[in-house]
Amino acid sequence: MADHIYTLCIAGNPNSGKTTLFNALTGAKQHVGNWPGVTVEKKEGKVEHNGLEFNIIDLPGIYSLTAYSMEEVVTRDFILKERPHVVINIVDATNLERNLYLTTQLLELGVPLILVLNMMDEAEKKGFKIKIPHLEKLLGVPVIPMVASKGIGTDELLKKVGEILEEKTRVVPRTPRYRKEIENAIQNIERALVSLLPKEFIEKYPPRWLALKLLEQDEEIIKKCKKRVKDDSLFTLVNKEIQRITKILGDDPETLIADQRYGFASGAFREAVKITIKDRISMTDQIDKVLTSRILGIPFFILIIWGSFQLTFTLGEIPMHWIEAGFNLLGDLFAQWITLPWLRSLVVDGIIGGVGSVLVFLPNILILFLIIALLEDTGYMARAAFISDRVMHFFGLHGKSFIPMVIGFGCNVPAVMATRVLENNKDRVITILVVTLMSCSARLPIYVLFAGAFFPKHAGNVVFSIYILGIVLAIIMARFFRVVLFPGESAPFVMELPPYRLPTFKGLMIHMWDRGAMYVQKAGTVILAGSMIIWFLSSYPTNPSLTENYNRLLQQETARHKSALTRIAQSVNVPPEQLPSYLPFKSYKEIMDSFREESTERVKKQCSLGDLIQKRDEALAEVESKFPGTLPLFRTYQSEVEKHRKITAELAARMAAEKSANSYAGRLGRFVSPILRPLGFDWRNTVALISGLVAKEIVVGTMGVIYQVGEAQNESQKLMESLRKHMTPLTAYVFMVFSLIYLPCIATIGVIRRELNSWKWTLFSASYTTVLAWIVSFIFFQGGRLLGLG
Amino acid sequence: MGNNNLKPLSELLPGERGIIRKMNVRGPIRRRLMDMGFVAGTPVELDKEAPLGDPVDILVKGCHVSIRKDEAQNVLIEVPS
Repeated sequence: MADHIYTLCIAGNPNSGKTTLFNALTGAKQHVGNWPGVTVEKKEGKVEHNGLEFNIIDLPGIYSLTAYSMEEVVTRDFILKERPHVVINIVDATNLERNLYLTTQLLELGVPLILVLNMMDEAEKKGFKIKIPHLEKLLGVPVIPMVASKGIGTDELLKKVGEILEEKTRVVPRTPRYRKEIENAIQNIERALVSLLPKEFIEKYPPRWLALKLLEQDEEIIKKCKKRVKDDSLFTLVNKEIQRITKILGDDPETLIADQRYGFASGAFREAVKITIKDRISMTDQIDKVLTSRILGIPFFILIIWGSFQLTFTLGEIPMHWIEAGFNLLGDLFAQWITLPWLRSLVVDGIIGGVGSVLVFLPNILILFLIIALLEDTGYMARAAFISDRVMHFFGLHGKSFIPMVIGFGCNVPAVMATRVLENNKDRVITILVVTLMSCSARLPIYVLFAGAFFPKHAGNVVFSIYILGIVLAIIMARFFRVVLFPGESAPFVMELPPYRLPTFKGLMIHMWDRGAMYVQKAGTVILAGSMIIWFLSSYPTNPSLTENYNRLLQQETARHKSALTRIAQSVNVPPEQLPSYLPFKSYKEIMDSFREESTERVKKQCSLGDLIQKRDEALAEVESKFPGTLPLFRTYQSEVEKHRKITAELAARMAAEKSANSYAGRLGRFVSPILRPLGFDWRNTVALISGLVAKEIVVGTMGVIYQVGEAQNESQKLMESLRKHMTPLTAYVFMVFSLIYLPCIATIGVIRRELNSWKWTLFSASYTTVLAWIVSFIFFQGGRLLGLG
Repeated sequence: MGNNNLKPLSELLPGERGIIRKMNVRGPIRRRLMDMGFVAGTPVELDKEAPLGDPVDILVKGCHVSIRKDEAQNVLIEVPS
């Protein structure tokens, strides 16, 4: 029985079908996390076969085992330190020669290895005849042919793993022998290592391999050895050997070793593979003739990016509305159940609102990651980077930064998550830092409000200028960060353009699901906590000392309204509560309502206002003739109802405004408002900006509350009017600029924290944007004043 | 086979082939290029340029690898006459 869990790991080049094999073996039973300390993804899954239980680890896709990237270091450290029972090296059989280069290095680790030749069907079509027993003999390890996408060969693989574990099959990896001078150096260094290094270290890291790495000047291994060897003797020896080899062989050991590994790989390839067809034009080349062609390449690229954006946000909007509606309904339900006001506010506004603000992004994220998985798995993502790199490189970014930047215009949250396509951490950090400058759709309502209020004739151009400002700032900051944060490091752009392939449905679904789950679990907690804090700040204290007793004023108004209604009711002899259903009043109201409806639609129905008024007056007179004297009374009644509605709305709005100004958020706003005064903002602007931390669209709502607009029908009109009273066009524009740049919303901060796995970068992102917002706004405001615009 | 008929990889025309003779690239990118198959003696072909002229797509050891012209300039190629 399975009393022991065996560890297997899958290693291989990117695009060799590693993840397809992993999915085929583990199915949905997998867990995605990060390797400790780094943002490299770690996938684990469990599988049982013939009573043996396996824990399978999908290692990151790599080309080599140097210290070039985090992925390579993670892989070799895992294999050497954790000592998995069997290492499965999957290779793309259609690209066997290049893939065997990594295999050569894995063989040198001296661990039990199985070589899996994936995509055997394609290799056969390409005319490759691979003599498997011959290859097994040349490499000294078992070789399994496979078509992972169809599940062919997975059983044979697990059977072979079982044989190795039961020691029915012995694995003795064969490794390249280097030229005499290098072999001598390896032996000398090996001897020194064995005598100088602690035993536990040598047991983990084979001395021959260490010696090779030292000759290759591998930074990680040098660091590791330096930590353990006190004196300089080891490095003096290594340097002496390197100089000697370079002098005799005319090239540095690093190059020579790589050369000979390739020699070993292509030797094995040539001996074990017979190529029967020559130079057939592949499907990939034919597709690339269109998709990366000089003329059609860019139009197709724009079309695909545009399509991705549209799908993510247009299609995502539908379930987004459902989620919003669902949470509103849930909130209403709880609002009815819970009578305690503070508990109601906590549950409805705090918890349900907070969870809603996390889940509302989920449709976007799922669709986006489905599209990204599709682009990556088909091979188009690499082409997109190939096409856009010229432009992005100019900005100090990478070709693959393009997609996150475009997604940023929709929403910064999925945009930050989309930076996962970037392999290089520096590229990722810079892209994440500037992606928040892409004006997301939540900021649009702010621009629409202010542009509509202050620049009604040029609203479109004004909003467009804000978007352009965001892009320009992103370019400037990207170049700035490249120089200041990562000086002297060129961003290498060496990227494989993999063959186009049909993705598997299972692979796409797993990919999408993993990302969605990760977003909810990890980013969700930060977003939820943040939303709760902001909710608390803006709704507490619940009973601040107000300048007036609004509740009493409201009661007084209700009493006044009631007595006014009673007076009207007495003159027609009905109880006051039956006034709305009193027959003539009801008829008048219906006439007035239908008049209002018709007059708003009169352009569409093509009738003149005069005719409608005449029609209305005739109808009113008809009722009046049946019930004489009721029309003037109805007019009094109508104006009383309207008056009451206005007064209560105004009182409620004033109370809300005062409460909001006295809440912790309001106090904070007033406290920090001196800092924003040089930008032309008053405390109201500041409070609105603080509320925008939850989500930038809230700024508009807060503005409504602070400017005491209440629940009037023409709310936005009234808000615009009162904004015009308090602000100038210049401050309005500066406010838009500030809204564009400052602190991304809580949700974005949450995913930045999650994606970069670092509070340091998260805080940096939050603070640099705010400082930048201040500086740019200051320049606009003071510059505008100098030009006499204020 | 002197150095006189060596030319930078970036100057190959689309479809033109040659053999790598010298890698003048330094730093981590050299390592990366070697891992992708760019070693002396390897035949390469410049398959195509990106629509905007940079980077270029190099066919090396059966794989398409895209590199920027800045880097390709330092890979010296012998073109068979």
